[in-house]
Amino acid sequence: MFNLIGIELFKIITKPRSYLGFLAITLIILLIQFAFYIDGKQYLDFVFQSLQNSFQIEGNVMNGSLICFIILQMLIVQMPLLIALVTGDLVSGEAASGTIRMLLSKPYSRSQILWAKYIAGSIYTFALIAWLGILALGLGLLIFGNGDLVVLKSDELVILRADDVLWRFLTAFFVAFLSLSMVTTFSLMLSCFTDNSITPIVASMSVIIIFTIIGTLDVPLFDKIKPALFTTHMIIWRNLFDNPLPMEQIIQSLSVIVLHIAVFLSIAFWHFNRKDIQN
Amino acid sequence: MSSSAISIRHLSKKFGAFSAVNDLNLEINAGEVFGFLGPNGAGKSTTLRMLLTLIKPTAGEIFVLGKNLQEHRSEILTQVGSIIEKPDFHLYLTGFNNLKIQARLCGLQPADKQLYELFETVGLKGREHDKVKTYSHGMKQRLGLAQALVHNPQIVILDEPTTGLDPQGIIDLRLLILRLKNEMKKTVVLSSHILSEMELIADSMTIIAGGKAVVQGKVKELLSNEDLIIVIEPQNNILCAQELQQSQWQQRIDVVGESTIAMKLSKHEIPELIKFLADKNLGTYSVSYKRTLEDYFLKLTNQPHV
Repeated sequence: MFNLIGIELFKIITKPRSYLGFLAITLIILLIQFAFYIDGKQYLDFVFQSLQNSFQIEGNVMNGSLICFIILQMLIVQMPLLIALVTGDLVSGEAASGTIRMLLSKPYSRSQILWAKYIAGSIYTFALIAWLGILALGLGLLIFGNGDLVVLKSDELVILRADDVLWRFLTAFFVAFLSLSMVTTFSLMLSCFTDNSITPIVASMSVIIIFTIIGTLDVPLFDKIKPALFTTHMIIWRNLFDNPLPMEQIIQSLSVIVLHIAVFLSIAFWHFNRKDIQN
Repeated sequence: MSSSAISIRHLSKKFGAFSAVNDLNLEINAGEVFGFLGPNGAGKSTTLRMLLTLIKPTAGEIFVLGKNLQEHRSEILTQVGSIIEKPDFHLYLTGFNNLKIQARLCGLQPADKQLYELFETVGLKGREHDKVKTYSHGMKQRLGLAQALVHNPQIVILDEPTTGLDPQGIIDLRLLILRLKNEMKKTVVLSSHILSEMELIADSMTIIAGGKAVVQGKVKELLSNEDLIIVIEPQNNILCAQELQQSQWQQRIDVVGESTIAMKLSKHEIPELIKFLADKNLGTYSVSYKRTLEDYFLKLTNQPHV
């Protein structure tokens, strides 16, 4: 099994498109950090101007934690695309290139092969999140320094002490990894159903975009279906920056995420094990 | 007595209402080159894919090296190398890395030296570290063969292996297949549309049509009863044609050309014909023959002859 996972990782590592995600994340983060470095104070003054009458804000508000939080808010929308670009190709890419015939006529069961692909895809997802964390938080703290995190929400202002922030970020990255694992599983599942690599990537993105739009639209009609959409639970990492933590809501969302992963994986395994390779 | 390498019993595969393979029975002996013939859509590829567990049979059983394929899948597949339809690769990787992946998928950790030797065997020496996307079709075919052989399997399944190869490539492949059989004692299952290739290298063959075997047996026995086209190139074409028309060979003349005469004969009649030409003192540059294998094939598979 480790041998198979190693092979799958090798394929991902040697595929040029695997680096698009890292490249995009690096560029976006550096761009945001550069912009804040040059013009951040003016931006924050504008954001906090409505609060000037009620609060007196002192100290280093524009610090690494805040920049990281802003980057996470912005990038979490793009991350599924970057993930699906690789994971949506894991099975269908092999079908499209024909290498699936060679792969499935080797002395490994189909379940072992799919597990190896899933684990390799998850490792890639984790690596992407880790890279995001290193650049957004690590580099952010280096450039902008540490300080209390001021989170401006639609209905409240949360101020978190500097020594209370790091664990929240680490947990948020882990929760983001779980959320993106749902995307990994979803695109892997679609990948099992098609013989070309474009369809699962585009389909994954389309579903995520449609669900996100439904989730953001403030229409009573959609209120009932919002809890059932997996994208609703992908932003649960934000709740880790509430004080106190809404544990019930966090646990509920994490359960929904894990349930979705289990369902998507089950469907993928069921179909992949029955599939006749005719192409 | 040769033992059975592959035994297929009452194998069927249906895709919806369409029956791709219908109650097929095959016996392939160990150490032989087995030719698997049939027109497009006859069920060849489906059968080979079922042999490799890429497609699940609707009914029937497959035994490989005496073991049931369904029950001993992993064990059996370590002994099978294959190219199905066309060899496929990770184009963004080098030939060497593609081969290494195949070896590792078979549970091997081969030394680089072994892989280089395999590249040499299939005639790709010097191109090991080029990306496969830069390979020509023929080179890919050779690399596919290396992939099929990398784990030293007992059975090699090659689906249309000469497709896209140049004449030298076809000769090289033929020699390699014969080497696999004669020196390495491997069983080779060969599917091909090039019927004359089968005659040159296959020991036994099955012709399949509509998912059913229409003829099976040893190639020599099956083809010896068939008519050959004998082409005589005499010194004097007119005189030779006249002599033949006045002899017992009259009914066997097919076409009289400008400088050659074509006749339809069985192989065992050739020495008698040569003796006739010699007795009549008809100077002859050459007597050659070709099989009417295409006719034979089309007749068996009910295909119209164009």
